[in-house]
Amino acid sequence: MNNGERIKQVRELLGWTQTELATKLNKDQSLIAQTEGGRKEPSDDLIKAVAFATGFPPGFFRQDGEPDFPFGSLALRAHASLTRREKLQAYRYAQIVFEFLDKTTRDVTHIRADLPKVDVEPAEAAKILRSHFGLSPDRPIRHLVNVLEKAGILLIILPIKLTNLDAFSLWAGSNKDTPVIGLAAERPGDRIRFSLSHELWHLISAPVGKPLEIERNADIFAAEFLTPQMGIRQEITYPVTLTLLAELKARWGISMQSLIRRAVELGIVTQRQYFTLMQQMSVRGWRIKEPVVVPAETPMAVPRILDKTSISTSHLPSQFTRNIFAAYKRASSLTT
Amino acid sequence: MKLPLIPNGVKTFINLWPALRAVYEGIEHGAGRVVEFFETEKDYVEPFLAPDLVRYHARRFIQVRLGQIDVTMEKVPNISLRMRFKDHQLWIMKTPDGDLPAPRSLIKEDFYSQNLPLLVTDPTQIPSPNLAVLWQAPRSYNMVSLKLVCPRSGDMTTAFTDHYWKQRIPHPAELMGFNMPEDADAATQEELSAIEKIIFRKAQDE
Repeated sequence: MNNGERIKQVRELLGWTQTELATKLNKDQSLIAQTEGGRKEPSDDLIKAVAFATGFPPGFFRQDGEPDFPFGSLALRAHASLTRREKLQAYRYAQIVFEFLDKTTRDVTHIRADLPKVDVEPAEAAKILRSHFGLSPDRPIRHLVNVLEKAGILLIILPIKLTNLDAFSLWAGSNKDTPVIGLAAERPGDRIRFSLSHELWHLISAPVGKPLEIERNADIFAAEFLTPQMGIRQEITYPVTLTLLAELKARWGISMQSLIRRAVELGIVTQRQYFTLMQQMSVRGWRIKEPVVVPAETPMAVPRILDKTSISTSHLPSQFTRNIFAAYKRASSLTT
Repeated sequence: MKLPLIPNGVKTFINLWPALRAVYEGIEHGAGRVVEFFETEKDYVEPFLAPDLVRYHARRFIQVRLGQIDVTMEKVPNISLRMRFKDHQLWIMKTPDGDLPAPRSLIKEDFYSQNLPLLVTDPTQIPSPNLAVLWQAPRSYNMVSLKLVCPRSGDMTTAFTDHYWKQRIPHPAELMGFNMPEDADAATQEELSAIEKIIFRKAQDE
């Protein structure tokens, strides 16, 4: 990564366009474009000006070495409501945190990733994964974050406002041996659990097919992984009422809407009953904010690593590193 | 000799919660079946038939729950829903506007009037008052809201009704995770305030 790319990295992290950065620096946009493209070496003055405008120390822009951090499942997110700016911000944030951890924690004991690669249908893969993690085949998963961290997945909470992105995942590192999930901050616990399970599919399977199909398979996997047919079928019983769904939400840690979808998938309710239940949810405003709070699970590995490292020696602004801590702290206190 | 005391609404709600919960679920399930029924018939929701269908399905639903709660369903004509729970007589009625419907029979007039003794030696030792559970649904029947009312009086000829208190019954999902005390008199002040907060929360459905 050259100096120009470092500038691009920070600019995209802050969600600025080249023109916006150029205006802040009182320079021409073409200069930024040429520097970022590697066609022009940035002068010391330019680096200092960028450092001043962005709050990142000049040392950050003089670093070399390229973190191997592909786009991962972000490449599949073609949702119209997810802006390119939002996507890049999430990516850059996770990339910088990963690079920082990678550089500063070489001496810290690292958990070896223990994730199988599967080449089977999503529902079958969910069963394999449950067995691989030593989980019961038909019971709720109590602490999903714990299970994933034990498997060596690095969970990075993104302390930026992401309205249309819940999570993304990738295999990072020079040997592509560190599974990473970037997780949007301040989401309800049930949504986090579904997003994590959804991303788990992306980590264990090869991305075959069209993006929509891949995403659909990830949802099927997540549903079976969190609510295995063998267990949930005995609990979603007729008549399915909102009260029953609320009880099951508290027990299984999955949203009422996901449970309704699961009920129709498993043929417990008809399409018509599915619409009736969704309508009942909708009029109560529960499709936006559901009742029953599933506590948010907090990743522990990153804060633990950070505790053992000296942040003051890093090339990151202190505000940035403070934000990393704050994101994890907020996640642990988040209950709604 | 003193005037008899009408029990506090929140405490009554706590004591009746197992039955109220079953009623709420039953009515909601009934409303859901109404929607399904008329969709199958490819017809609009018939306003005169729908309440009967709700009551019919609600009764069946509550009967399934009878093993779990000590409710006695009363045999009343016209698929009416009336039950006994912890000495209270509960009459489940549809209301168009959230108020007690005018009594159209002497039985209901009597029910509203409570027939409490005029004066008692111990104001706490009075028969448990009759209570009305009012349910309301929009024309589409895609949701229901319920109220618990302690009636004071009703008059058939003037269609007048009055009540001691009236309060919203929260959807059971709103109380999920909350440890409802079995006996309201044994509840702590914190528990009472928490329930009060939920009951009087401005609900989306009102």
